[in-house]
Amino acid sequence: MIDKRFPTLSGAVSDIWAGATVMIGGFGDTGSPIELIHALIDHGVGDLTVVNNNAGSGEVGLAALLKTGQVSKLICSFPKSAGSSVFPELYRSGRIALELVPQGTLAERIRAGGAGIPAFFTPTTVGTPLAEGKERRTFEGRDHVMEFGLSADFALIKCKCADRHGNLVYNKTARNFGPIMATAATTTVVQAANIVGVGEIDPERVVTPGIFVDRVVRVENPAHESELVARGEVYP
Amino acid sequence: MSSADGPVGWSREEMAQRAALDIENGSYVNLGIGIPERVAKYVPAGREVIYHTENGLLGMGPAPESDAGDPELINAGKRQVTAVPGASYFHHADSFAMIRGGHIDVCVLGAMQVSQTGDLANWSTGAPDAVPAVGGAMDLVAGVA
Repeated sequence: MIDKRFPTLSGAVSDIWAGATVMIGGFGDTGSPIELIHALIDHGVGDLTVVNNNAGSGEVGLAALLKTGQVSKLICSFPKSAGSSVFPELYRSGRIALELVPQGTLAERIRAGGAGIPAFFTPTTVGTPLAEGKERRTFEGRDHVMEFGLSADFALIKCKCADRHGNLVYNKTARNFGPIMATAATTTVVQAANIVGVGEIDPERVVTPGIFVDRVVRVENPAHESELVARGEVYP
Repeated sequence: MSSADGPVGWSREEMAQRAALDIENGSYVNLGIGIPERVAKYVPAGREVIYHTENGLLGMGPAPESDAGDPELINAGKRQVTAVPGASYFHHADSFAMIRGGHIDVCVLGAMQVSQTGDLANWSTGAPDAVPAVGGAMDLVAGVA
């Protein structure tokens, strides 16, 4: 029997090693797997490379993970957000490396990484400092830069509903990076608000097929970063 | 731009109103953060326009009534929005396929500076301690026909 359910958050992240690359889903608050991130903080390993669109806010979730010093490098498109102070402080004091990637290039690098495509060409960044040092080619008279596919050792993502095979359904715009990160990580760990029986999710409505998922943990009432920040909460 | 006599040119609201006039019936339109968020309300009546937000929604509607919002339904500016009838959700790679693939008709972007020839400054001030943040704007500029 295939059963990808894990009873605890701590168990689902316990083999993440120091130096691992970890993709973390979410666009700002929306889709951020706060409970899995907090489990990773408790797990305590360092020298992580984290891939996320943003850099967190307040001192919970991703920002809290950065604040612990466990992350040596962040690959992201927009590390500035309202209420984001942890990352700017680390960045200005040289305690974290930043690889700045345009949002669409970041998404396509993750998609490519999960689809077995080592590199691709895009016109995005041509003529800007972000194109410096990148291989160029001209297609149909237009300049492009080469970008590499991006994969990870682990992905931490959040969804609304899962089954024990790892089939996933998301909630509204919380879908964002979840489906592509699930394809790009060796081990994909999912927190699901609800876990239903196999066959209860209409195959036409499955967004992420279970083949891309390794572990599912139930988190019945997941926290929202913005609400925790508004309450002034700090983790740990 | 400003002078001793006060701001020169259009107000933010006037810029949004003017931009809205250029949006044709039947367009798929990406709205960026800031002034672009005000554009939709000025599109002339009778034009059906579908709004795209790059975090994964086609068919974006206005902000929800207070306390009727969902923290998992937001726009690119991370503000709560609604989904209109006929809307769809999708992941980021699909969203930027719409953008880079030339499927979006119009994009309304915010910027720090714009040159006479249309060059945009909108992701870094260049200050030594500035945190650069590029987001999706470069993909939009490269991809929207």
